[in-house]
Amino acid sequence: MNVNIPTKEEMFHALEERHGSDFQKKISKASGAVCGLGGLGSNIAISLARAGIGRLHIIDFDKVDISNLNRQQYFADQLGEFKTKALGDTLSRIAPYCEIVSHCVRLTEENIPELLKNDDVVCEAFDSAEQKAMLVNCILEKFPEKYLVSGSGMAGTGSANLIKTRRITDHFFICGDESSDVEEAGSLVSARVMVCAAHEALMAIKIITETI
Amino acid sequence: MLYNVLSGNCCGSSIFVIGGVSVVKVNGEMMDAAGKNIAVLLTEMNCVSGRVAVELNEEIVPKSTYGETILKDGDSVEVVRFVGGG
Repeated sequence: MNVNIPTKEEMFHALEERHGSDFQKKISKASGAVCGLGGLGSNIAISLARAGIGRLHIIDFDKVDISNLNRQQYFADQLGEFKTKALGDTLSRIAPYCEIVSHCVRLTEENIPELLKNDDVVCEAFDSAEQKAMLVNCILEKFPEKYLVSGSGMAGTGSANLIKTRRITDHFFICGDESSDVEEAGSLVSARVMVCAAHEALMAIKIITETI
Repeated sequence: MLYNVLSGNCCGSSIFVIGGVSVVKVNGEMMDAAGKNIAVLLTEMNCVSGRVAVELNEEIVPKSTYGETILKDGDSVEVVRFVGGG
């Protein structure tokens, strides 16, 4: 492995050249949380790290399983590792100066207020509908000032063009086709999950660079 | 007497409903739902309450208050239904 990684200044300058100065200054000061590090969350986190986010808060309780490799950003040699550790390692290689804060824990109504209090933008990236609803309701009730981006509906092989970002309120956006349930569709395919993850990541980036 | 604008502009002229019909906008569609509470609305929409988030006039409705939150004429409701997969 090449250990001669660029300096922090060199990395910032390269990103600034590509994204613009205002964009880069804003995103380098922002903190984003990614809740759930599966097909949505692992891809969202990588997009935010590549964009140059200053602090990335990654949360998941699970370990990398062989069934994850079809769509989640893990490697075959990471099976059995906690997702926070495995993804944290990858993120550090992509963005060595991004502050990565990881919590290997299951988010609940009880621990969300404490764990997510410091994040500007929260990306919901769970897989179960009940967990998605729990996190969204909890954030909207406890932190109405935070920005929340959620993903719902990316199963199966329906057209990628059905996946959209929809504004619910000034602070709450939902990405996905809002209808394809994994139980009914029977599959989760990387290409379509990544489209939804990209919607969530881009919305988070737009909030950080154009709104906050 | 009530004058409710139902669907804004249609062919250059507005449609008004005069009288007793009270309408609530639910996910962008006008419904005769005033007077109902959120729990009843969700049941009528075949929604599982554990899989939704409900916004009333751009503010979250806490789950614990679904049964006591009564919809009024002119309210705007957004019911976000979550599906599995991620």
